[in-house]
Amino acid sequence: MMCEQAEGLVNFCRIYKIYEFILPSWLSSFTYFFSAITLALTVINILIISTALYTWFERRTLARFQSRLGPNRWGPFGILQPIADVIKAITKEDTVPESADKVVFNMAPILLIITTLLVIIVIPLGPNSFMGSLNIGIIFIIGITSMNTISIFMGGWASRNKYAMFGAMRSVAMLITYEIPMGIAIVGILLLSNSLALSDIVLSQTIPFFIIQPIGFFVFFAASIAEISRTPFDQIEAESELGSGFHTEYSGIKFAIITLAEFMAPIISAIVITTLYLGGFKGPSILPAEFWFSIKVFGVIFFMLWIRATWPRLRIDQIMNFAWKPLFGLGLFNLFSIAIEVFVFQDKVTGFISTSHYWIMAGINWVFAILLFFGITQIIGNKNKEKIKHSYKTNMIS
Amino acid sequence: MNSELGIENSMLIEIIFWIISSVSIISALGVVLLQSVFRSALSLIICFITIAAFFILLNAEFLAAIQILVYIGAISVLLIFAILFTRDIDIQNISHKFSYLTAGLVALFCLISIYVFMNIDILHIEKNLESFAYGNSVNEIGQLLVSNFVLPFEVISILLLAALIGAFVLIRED
Repeated sequence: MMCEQAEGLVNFCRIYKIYEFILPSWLSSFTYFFSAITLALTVINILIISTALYTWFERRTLARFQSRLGPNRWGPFGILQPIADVIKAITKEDTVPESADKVVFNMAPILLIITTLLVIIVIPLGPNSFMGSLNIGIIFIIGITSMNTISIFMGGWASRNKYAMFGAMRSVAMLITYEIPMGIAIVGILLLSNSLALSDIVLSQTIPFFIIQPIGFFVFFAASIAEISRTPFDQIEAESELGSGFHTEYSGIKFAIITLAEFMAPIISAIVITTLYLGGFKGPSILPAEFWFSIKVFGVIFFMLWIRATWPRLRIDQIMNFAWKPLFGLGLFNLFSIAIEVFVFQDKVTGFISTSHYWIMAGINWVFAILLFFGITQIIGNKNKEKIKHSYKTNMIS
Repeated sequence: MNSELGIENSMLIEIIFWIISSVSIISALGVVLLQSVFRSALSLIICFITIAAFFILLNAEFLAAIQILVYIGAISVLLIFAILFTRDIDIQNISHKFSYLTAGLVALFCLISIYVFMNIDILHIEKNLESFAYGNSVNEIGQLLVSNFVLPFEVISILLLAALIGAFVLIRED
């Protein structure tokens, strides 16, 4: 096994060397196996612990936004609240509906957490710290997130509950729809980075890609909030209409697992956004790269929370319209403008673009972005005004 | 990948291969034999996943990702969608009105033709395989798509466009 690059916190070779040193000789053929398991368990546990902390952070922050206190009883600032939540969820009775398809019903939460966790494999957390650098990293992410749909479907179908079924249907319609603008936004990145591997995408960001393509960033951000079905896109579990969507019938530890997957999804999607648009692990070398990475992820998560606290939930038809009309159009526009700019500014021999050309592209795209946003808001605003006037007149006549 | 990892790991890869292939055969049988339509759709998905795993074992990562994206992310989701929209489909026992003899003959024919094609090498498989550099098949595929195979590529895109427009015409209300 060749192991030269042993820097980076989450590095396979580092763990491999430790095991090579520790293990007795009769176990040495398992070194590879043990170090792989250690790496996987480390990353999974870090994610689960940060998800637990994230639930606390989300509740506290939302409470602050709404002038409440939030969980504040157990531990300093209520930071031990997640532990209490987990204990409560585990000790509840684990019920399965009588008419449910038991095998599928029990498999759905496990599949949901697996597909959520799998995305982290291809993410570079630092210059040499990743679990596996697939050459097709970004297609892998799109494929795995589309597998989420199936586990939601399984949960909704197997519980034999109309509300669960409706939630599952809505989720599938939404996920399929929002994959399209997401994919189109990603193509814009691929044009700039010349590679499908995420580590290459991070390294090619001499300035973060959200500066170069603001429209693409907006499309991707909106689509990924919709993919993880957070407010304002949380029609999957619209409490006032559907109970709680596809997991209405789940209780006990299965409910805990589904909630874990659901709260892990924002972290994962913040990680993906950071990698694709915010320069990933790049930052001044005073601090380790992983630290910059987590700071950026935290910023994205806070921004998502801010959105959640600000906007009310959209109706399902509004969500669909938003995907097909503005987001799809903006994504296509972004793709075309980036393609033309890359064609003009690209070095014809090496295929790369210099930083000064990046800044020119950024300038052009920001002008486009501001013009488009003003134009679209004007059009939508005028339409709504006419609608209100019209409905007012008809009401007066009747 | 085999050459890099040493002997014990090539054994590991062989073990993984046998596990994956047995899972794939069992799930393929499940598609045919399970009574509930939804469950057989799920086992079809497992079969697709194992095929993607085979692609990864053969170093064809791009094909594996496309397998997951197209077959699992799009086709099986549409399949399940159709099942859910059909009322009471999972309550009745649907009899398989399908001659096992015909199915067996078709499968046999496919196997024989694959064997023949591999042996007479009409597609120049080995020569084409050599042109794929290790671990960078995406670039090669992209270049082949816009050079040697540009005509089929464009024809397929026109076909897809026609299918899209056809779908829109079919669902129009007026």
